[in-house]
Amino acid sequence: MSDNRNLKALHLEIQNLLAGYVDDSLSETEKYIVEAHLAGCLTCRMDVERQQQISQRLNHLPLSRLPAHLQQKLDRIPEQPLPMSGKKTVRDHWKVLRNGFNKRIQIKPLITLSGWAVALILMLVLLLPLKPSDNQQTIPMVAQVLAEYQSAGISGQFNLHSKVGVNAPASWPDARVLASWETSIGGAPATAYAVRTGNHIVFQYAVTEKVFFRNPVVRMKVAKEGRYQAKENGLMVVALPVKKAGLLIVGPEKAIPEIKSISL
Amino acid sequence: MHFFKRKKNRQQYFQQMTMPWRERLYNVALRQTRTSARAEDWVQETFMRAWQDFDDLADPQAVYAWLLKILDHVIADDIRKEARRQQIAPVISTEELFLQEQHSSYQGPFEQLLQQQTDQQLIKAIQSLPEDFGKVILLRDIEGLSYQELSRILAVPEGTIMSRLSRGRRLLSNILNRSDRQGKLPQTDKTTKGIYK
Ligand SMILES: [Zn+2]
Repeated sequence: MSDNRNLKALHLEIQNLLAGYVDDSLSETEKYIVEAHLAGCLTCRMDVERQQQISQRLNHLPLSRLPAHLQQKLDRIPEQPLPMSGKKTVRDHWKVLRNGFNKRIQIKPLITLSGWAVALILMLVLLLPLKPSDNQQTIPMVAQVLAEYQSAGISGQFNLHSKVGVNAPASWPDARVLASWETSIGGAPATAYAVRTGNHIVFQYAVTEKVFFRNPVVRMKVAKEGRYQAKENGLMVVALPVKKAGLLIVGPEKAIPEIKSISL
Repeated sequence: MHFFKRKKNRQQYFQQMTMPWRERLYNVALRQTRTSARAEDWVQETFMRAWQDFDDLADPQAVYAWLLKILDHVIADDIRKEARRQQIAPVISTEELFLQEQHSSYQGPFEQLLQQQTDQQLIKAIQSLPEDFGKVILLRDIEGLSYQELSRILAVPEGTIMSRLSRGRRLLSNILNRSDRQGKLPQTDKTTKGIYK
């Protein structure tokens, strides 16, 4: 009676090892125990046989081809910018890309002009350089504004309501403010401005003093030369101190005005 | 961090490492859903996460296992979100399958039965298994990964992989037997999978 029960328990125990037996993944001892049991258990012998047959049959399933449109989507993935300011920012940034750029920036429209919004979308799509970035930046705020600038072009969903009569912190002869929105840079609130200059669009970010001076490299450069600037893949970021705050200008290198023509 | 020094190569290296696995990964995804659109979304999301976490890839030899692990998380996230399990109507419960597991009376030529099944029918039968069992069969028998790799991907001990695989294949043969007698595949109620714990 109790022998029977032990046998039953062993049988159940052995059943959990049968896949390993079929796949030759048991230790020598386990293999020995299983084989001893198999000799006296028809159920387990049949189980082994079926497992082998299933495994063999499934091994030969044909592969479906990767659809061309998926192939193309996957090709484009590494073209996306990748801010170098740590995991969190990277993840946040991807969230932006997935949800569409417009969801992230908190827009406080003063006056809504749908015509402007449409024109702006078109211009951004046409004018923003879509070239992906290698992202040499290690200064978080700089990496972030570069990424935002680029993702605006890539996502092409820049559905902004424009403000009329708003002045950006920095102005130069042919600069025209297209839109402004509230965002967050370096974890602190910031105001962004899209400015058209010639055939390009340049973003300006008014950031807090704390964020602006957080990085020692920026601090040193600003102290010595009055500004910090970085270039990457044809894009340029200029960081300028302004009264009780900082200003980041990002755009195609050739669209960034000479420092002397900028009035703050 | 070490990749950051060669950022110029990052894109190129990423593509070089992951491109050969695209199709297989797509097939793994495809075999876990009934719609190809959903599989495509999963694959895209997987490669996005892979790109973003590329520097976490410690062992370049294990890139496929690493991608599969990400895919597994993507699918789990998606399923959690959609709670799609609710929509699958139970025809027979897995409990019932287990009851008959111990005394399956089928004595006919199983191999013949197996050969008669179309690939699509087999995939459907695997999909009807409780998730934990279907997954190990998919990764071991279709994808040919080792127990060690499976253990890493699913984050469970190798012994658990082995017992799940044993029970999964047994369940699968019961489902196939049953469908042979009834002329259609059963669908299991995956919400009862708690009973296997
Ligand atoms: Zn037995």
